[in-house]
Amino acid sequence: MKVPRRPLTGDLVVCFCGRAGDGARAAGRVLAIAAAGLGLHARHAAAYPAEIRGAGKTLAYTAITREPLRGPCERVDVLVALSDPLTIPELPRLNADGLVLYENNPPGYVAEDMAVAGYIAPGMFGYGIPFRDLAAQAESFGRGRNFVALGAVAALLDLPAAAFPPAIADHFAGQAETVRAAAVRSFEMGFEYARTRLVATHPWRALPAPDERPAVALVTGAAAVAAACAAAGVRLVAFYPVTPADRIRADLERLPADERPVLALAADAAAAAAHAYGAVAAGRSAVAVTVGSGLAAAGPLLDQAAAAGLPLAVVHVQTAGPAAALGTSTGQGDLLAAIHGLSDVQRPVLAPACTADCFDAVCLAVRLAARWRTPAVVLTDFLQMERGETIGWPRPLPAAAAALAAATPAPDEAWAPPGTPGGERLVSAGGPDKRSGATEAVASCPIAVGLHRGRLNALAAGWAPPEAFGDDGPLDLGLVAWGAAIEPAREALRAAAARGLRVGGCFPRLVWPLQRPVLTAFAARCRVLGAAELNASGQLAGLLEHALARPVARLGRAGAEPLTESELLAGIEEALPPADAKGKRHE
Amino acid sequence: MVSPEHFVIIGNGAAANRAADVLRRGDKDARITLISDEFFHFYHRHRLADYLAGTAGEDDLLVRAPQHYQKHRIRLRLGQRVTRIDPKEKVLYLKHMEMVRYTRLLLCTGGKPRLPEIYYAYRAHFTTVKTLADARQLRERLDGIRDVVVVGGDLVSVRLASALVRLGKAVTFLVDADSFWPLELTPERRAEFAERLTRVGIAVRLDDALAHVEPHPSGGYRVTTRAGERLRADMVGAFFGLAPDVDFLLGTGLDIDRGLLVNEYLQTNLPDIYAAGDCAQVYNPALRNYWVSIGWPNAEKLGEVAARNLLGQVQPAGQAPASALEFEGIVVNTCWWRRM
Amino acid sequence: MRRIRKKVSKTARRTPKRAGTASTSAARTPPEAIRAPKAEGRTTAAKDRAAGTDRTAADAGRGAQTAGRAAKAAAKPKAPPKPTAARRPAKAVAKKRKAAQRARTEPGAAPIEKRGKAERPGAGPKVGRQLASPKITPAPTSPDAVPLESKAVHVQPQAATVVPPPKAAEKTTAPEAVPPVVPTAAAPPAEPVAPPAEPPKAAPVRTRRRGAAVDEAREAEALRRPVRRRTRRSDHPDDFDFARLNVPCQWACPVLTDVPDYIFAIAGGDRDKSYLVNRATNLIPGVLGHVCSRPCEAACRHGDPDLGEPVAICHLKRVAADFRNQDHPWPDRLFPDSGCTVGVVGGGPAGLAAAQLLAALGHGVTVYEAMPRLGGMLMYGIPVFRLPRELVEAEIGRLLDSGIAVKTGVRVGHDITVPELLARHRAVVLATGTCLARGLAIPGGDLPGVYSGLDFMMAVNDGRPPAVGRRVVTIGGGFTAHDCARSVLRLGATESHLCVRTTEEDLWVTREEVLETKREGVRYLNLVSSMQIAGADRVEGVVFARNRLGPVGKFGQRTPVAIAGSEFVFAADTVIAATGQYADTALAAAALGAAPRFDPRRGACEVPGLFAAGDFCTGAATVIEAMGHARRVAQAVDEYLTGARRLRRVVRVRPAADTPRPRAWDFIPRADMPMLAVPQRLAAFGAVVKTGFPAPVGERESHRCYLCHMKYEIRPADCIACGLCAAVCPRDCIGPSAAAGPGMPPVWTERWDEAAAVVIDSARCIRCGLCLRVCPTRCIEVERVEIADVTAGE
Repeated sequence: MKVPRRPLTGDLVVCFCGRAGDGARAAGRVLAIAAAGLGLHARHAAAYPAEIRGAGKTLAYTAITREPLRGPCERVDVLVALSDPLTIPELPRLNADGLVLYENNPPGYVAEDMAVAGYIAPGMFGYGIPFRDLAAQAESFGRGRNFVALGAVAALLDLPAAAFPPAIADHFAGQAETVRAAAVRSFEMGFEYARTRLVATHPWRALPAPDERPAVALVTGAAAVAAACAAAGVRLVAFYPVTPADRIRADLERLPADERPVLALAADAAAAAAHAYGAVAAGRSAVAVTVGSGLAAAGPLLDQAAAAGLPLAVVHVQTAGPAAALGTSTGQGDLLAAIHGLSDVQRPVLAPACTADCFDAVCLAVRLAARWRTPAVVLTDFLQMERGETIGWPRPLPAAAAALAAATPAPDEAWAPPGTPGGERLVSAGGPDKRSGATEAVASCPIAVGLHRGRLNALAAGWAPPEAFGDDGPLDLGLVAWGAAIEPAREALRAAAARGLRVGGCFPRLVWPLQRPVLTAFAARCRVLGAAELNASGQLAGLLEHALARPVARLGRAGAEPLTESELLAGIEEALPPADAKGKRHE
Repeated sequence: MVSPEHFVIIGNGAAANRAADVLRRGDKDARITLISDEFFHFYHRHRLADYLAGTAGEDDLLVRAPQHYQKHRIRLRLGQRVTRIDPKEKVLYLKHMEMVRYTRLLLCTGGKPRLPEIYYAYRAHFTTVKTLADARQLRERLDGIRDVVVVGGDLVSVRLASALVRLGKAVTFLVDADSFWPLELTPERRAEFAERLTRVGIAVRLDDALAHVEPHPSGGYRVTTRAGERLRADMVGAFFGLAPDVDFLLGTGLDIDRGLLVNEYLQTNLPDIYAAGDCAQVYNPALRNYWVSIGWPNAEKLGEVAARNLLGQVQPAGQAPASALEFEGIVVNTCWWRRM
Repeated sequence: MRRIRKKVSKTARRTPKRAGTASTSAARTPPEAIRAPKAEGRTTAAKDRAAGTDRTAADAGRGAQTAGRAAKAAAKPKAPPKPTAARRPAKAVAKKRKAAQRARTEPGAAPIEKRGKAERPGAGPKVGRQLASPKITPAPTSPDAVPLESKAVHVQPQAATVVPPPKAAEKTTAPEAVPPVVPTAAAPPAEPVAPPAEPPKAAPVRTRRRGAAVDEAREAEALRRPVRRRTRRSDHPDDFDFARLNVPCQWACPVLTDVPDYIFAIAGGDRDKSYLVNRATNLIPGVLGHVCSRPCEAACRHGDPDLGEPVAICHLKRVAADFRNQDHPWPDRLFPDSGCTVGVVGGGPAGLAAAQLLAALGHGVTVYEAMPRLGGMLMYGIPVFRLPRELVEAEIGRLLDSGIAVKTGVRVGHDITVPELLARHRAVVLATGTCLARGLAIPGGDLPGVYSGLDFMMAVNDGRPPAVGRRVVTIGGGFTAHDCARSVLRLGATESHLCVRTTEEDLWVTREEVLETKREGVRYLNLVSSMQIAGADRVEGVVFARNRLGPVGKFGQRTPVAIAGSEFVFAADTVIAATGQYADTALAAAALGAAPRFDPRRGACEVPGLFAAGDFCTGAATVIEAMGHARRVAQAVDEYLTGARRLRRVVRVRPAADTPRPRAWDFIPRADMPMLAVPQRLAAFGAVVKTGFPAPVGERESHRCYLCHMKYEIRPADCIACGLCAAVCPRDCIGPSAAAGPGMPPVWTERWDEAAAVVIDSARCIRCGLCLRVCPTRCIEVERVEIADVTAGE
């Protein structure tokens, strides 16, 4: 007679909800590190809006599972309320027998229905824990509430306490010993409290970690980007030091010195692009990191690189707002800017869906740029940069990237950038060509653009087909999603398919140029075609409408909160063609 | 138009649920809230022994589907404990520092395991089974339990001991004059009772009681009886019946003796506060004594009466005949409550 | 989350101001009247108290309102200090404290009486204190009414040394020259000319009020800080209010034992000091550590709702007594020999307490005790299993060192009469307690087998226990009844029933007592009234009627109402009626013709020199209450003898650095008193049940005390309203308040535009010190407050 354990299917998701400064993210991250240390698959992510600076709401999700991770963290199994009023709106996400941990000794009384406890539906388990008091006992100050809560979560889920102190040490690496010790003590207080008082009544636990440990490590998107730069042989990475970009810089700095590219800190995004431009012009592989509107600032250099055929790769962190400082979480609003910039020259755009994709996308972008003599853009977002996932690590260079490297023309095809006096300066992808000494005249502008188009078409034609969801048969609805929308779209489609709907998906990582033949074939199978993306105008949808000459339903919205499975599912159901009298939607 | 009434019922047992139903029938618009510190929906307590024995699952314990409450717009606040009542302001204070306002309050807090003061020193070593949570906890421990000593004695203990015997545990029952609370067992009855227990397979120590319990260094407990016998046990079950769970109401101005003193309309001494079920103590002129009615049908009846009075009708609880309950051939008078 | 401040309701209750107490307040516009004094009232007042003579120079320069007020005040002739009428009614009082206050208005009364007298003109603290009241015109120290500000310069040399005098002068004189309503810094400096380095700022009025005034106020604060950080002694009602509301344990104690101080001493390992702190007022700490009724624990803030259980104050008293390193001699007398002698009749707690204080005050004291041994109820009433006799003898013996003569075996009224005593002594204090038992005035009450509780206990304690049957019924719910019910189990009864008219909740005894009584096997029969003792020629049972609870009585307890027709017989072979006891007033009456009427407060009666103290005067009460009463009566006797009040009750305020305890200590659970196992208790009558905390347990328990005598206060001038303190506060006791001032309960507000200051509600504060530790401007000040009786000349 054992208590039931979870997850039976899917991920077990713990969500810490609090105000900025409550330490929700730290708790979520430590939980993921500890779970990874136990040999579980884990993912941590935090969502918070632009008003984070005004003590905005922070939701830190951590998913734990024995199987490889699947989707986003929408349904929540454990909700930790570090701030009652902010958590109350999150309760609908909690599973029917979910677990809520809340503060049961706040400093003063609250009015009716101002406490999370008042909203815990019957069937859920709400445990009041004196977070503040326990934290105060642990370190006499009461700031370790998040770790007290984490301790209680660990006890209730039956995760071994021993896994956490190392995880806390990992999280606080580089900080004072006292900080770490206080966090560990707080954790222990919470663990002990829950173990002695709550565990006995709690009806379910997490599945224990498997005996066989998967060869995985918890990696953030930023770390994946950094590692990819090293793996792809990038020699210089240039930044304008601003928050999301800084994450990548911090991870680059952690790389071993002999693998680490040169880091150039520029005065602004345009200067960063110029640094990278200079490096590629000199024949070195280089990446510029831009954020938000920084992409626009870097635009002229990218156009220049396109015209000159220089392999300038850009890792761009999208933000939801119109400026770098706003909407620091997520968003997919920069697709058009990434493709077109300010000119008629287009750039290939890759958009990763997960952390492993981040690695692959950067490797591919660097190789693709070299192979096709074009600037290339990787579109990520802050959420992806911050999110940690257990992935096979170290990750090998993707086969496609190796293939691209193999197909990269020999150095004798090297181009001199326009404006090189006399055009005699020789460069190649691997550096100045010392052997052939071949020269080529600088192309005139129209020719350059034409050539560039041709290169892009060739690129798309040779690209591996996108990920597909569903079978090859006719579909009532086909969903195209890119970047961060892929994961919720996949889960939404899975849920829709489980309801018996005929749906399918197409999730390209190469967003531009479009892989027309594949997309045309996919669209032909669909009665309704939709596109999921986190922007207001439906940027990919517009491109698809133009390319496929048929309407595309927009299943997205603007905002800094990630798309969720349920809203996409609702969108799918709305977009589905009406069913006939027999309940059939398709002929 | 929203009715200004907010009926709050503390408890989620037979009395509380019946009262909630009656209130809903009588007032379609009122807010009705049930507050209980248990997490589970309304369940059959008397089936806990079956649950423990594995013959009933948790779902079998449920009295009614949870949807019932949604349908009747009865708000359930489960797992929440009321710590204080302010009758002047008509506010309840919950453990997590939330204030809930009520217009009329019904207390159906039921009982909590009674522990005679002489055994207070050993309370940490005793196992009691009153709630599903207790049963769950015990169920998880069952594998490690071989020897069980039971002290006290009430209906639960007998059922439970039988269940444990069926599960292959060695159960020793200490039976003395105070055993079958609230009934004072005469020597004849005691012998009869012991014989019945023996028939089920329970080892009985007649006219012996617990003298001392201490944890055994190698796990479990060492039990010393008054007669000087030393028993080893993995679990010491203490079953002394239930005492009204009214401690949190002390100091509110409510009349409390053992339970909440109410008049025949189940009204406490404070306005708009009523009590029903095991926690209410009513004066019964026929008995010339206060009495508490224990047991499911009594609780339901009182819950109904209290609800009617809350709705403004005037209905006395009635001088119910001392209801009797039969168990394995022994009649237990469940009304004689104050004999302690 | 919006915190719901329970105290918001106080806004309504609070009168905005003491309307009409001073003309200055009437002159101000209403909003000013509400806000202005709050803004700085508390600090100002406190500072004034400290400075004694007044406010330092720069102080007066802060803020136009202050300036205006000060100027007006200076201009007016000395207003007589407003006495009691000006006192603010206490507001933020928890219910129980209110009750406590009602029950004992005495301690606060003394200082109030004194206030109006202005006995010591020119004396620093007192006059300074009067300044503190925002409405009251400051009374200058010298008759020529020097303007406050310039006076500060002269009188406060320390202040002058800290800050360059010209600057101070500039700040202070400015407001003086300014009309009260138009504040400006541009006014030309008066006395010492301001140095050119600091030209007067021609700032617009608003700026001046918002900016310059704050700057000046900060400087003023900086100036005053060293002045304030001094021990001061106060008899101002505000300070007594603070002590009453905020050191509830001490105020609840009838003898005002300095509870936090002695607990803190134990925490510091100094149990000798702890014992002495106790003994200074309660005289027999070891004994009280066993049997005190602990009004302090009922008041303890740790026992407030949501804060857990009260500190085991009484048990800690015993820890100090049990583990002190030496037997401390009694200190010298406070006053030289007065030449008067006083006779104290009765050697119980009240008699001894009165005798000790009278001896300390220099009078010759003789105690007349009827029994062979001193101690009264301690020796003959309380059973030995609750209180070991050697302890009583040792502590009383030590007490006699203070110069008390004793005559035991002298029964006053029998061996010697009260008039004879009056002839022999200048004054006589009757403290014979309540030694007559109230019998059972019901049919059959005189049957054999019926005892009165008091007689029964006295017989038991005298070593002549009466025979008891198997089934004993004790009627009554007081300490004596419990003692009887427990004693009979030790004397061979197999069943002991305690019959209570109401419920356990209403009993006067402690919960612990009830639990132990039950644990020993005593069974309670609640809600019964005895109607008749059944039996032919000896007790066979008691006829009881069931009760229901009636209305709330005078002392907050429920009155029982018998239910008609509910009689039943309860079998018993022994009945002990512990239904109360009363004083033998015939003692005095016999000698004086008519029973004298004693003033219950001061113990005096129409016969000059005759006083009554303790239970004899007040009716049966507890040991500590009797002692508290006796000490008050002793002071009245002293006043009668010397014509002067020679002990003064003051509030001593000392600077402190911080609460010397980590927050984690707040979570230590209350320690359980270790008790003897029940069989061992019943085996030997004299086996003391409570075995006492071991020293380490005591030390740990002492950590639990919040040290409520610490007073946390935010200096408004330095507060930048950053909110850090409120963020770390584990209670909702810090926040913006629309009212701020000494002794003023906060009026919480969510709106900053109506907030006068960020304040700490001391009545809710648990002195965790977190706010102090996070405050970036160090604007939270800590002081230690204690109530003490000092000799008037001290």
